[in-house]
Amino acid sequence: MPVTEAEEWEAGVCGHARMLYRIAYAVLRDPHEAEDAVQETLQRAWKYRARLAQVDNPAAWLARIAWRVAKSHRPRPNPIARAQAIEELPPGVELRSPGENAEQTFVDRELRLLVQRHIQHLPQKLRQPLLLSTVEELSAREIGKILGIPEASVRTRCLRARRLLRDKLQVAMRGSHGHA
Amino acid sequence: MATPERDFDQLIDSVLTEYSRVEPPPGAIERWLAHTADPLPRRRSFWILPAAAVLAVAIILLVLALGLRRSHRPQPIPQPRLTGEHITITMPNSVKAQPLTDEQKALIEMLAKDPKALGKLSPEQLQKLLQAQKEKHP
Repeated sequence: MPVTEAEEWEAGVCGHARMLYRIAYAVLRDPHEAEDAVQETLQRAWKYRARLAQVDNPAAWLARIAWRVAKSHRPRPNPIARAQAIEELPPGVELRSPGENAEQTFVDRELRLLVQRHIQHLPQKLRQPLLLSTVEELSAREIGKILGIPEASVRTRCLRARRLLRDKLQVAMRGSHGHA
Repeated sequence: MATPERDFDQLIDSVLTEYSRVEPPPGAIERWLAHTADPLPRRRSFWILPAAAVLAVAIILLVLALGLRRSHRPQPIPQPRLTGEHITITMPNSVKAQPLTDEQKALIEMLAKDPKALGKLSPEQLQKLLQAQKEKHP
């Protein structure tokens, strides 16, 4: 039975849908905005599907579109909404604390929220490669192509981002113990 | 008790792993596929219309300013120009050379003799003086 173009397209897209959503969510930090961004990404990709045949890496091509759409889709900064978005855990993530008591669970959750806040406050050129590195389907080389930077810079910036996060956490912890 | 650096790394890894485990909402993939062929959303760029209006007004003002500047430009003062080997002073058409009248000649003569005295005369006295000069030199 001959496969239609649409069916072929669906088969190809389904495999990358999660990756596209994770990229959009990494930028937008809101599930509804991320869903809209992925919808627009797929519409754009469908519009320019003729180019897909000329592309070596379709996943990277889609990822690049998703990144650009998410960046342009960025909603206006709203401090209240932003704080709420940081407080909410992303969908599909469970707060696991097997064998721990409620107090430890609370402390763990607060620490995670603190790390999330610090990630959002990282300089853009460090935050972007770090967030994209969490998308398992993307290699450092592909991240470099999305961001327009060399592969080595992706690795360096991720290391710098982690170092900066560690330093901020140390300062935060010292401050909290000092007030105790 | 301070958390060691290794624990910070583990904490950071743990949070970043959460990012990588994010899943699309239930039914999202079906919705995406159902609407893929829809036309792309039209981005409303609210800034374009006001920017175009400001630009149009700026161009109109510039054109008006240039037009006003040209209309207020003073007329150039006609300058005598030199022509050929023999220096000929060409006067513009607005100025027509006229020979001096007898009265003007008499006035010039009196000015040359005594300019201060001439300034003290009233118009009637001056007229009488010119008449006498005319009779003296017919």
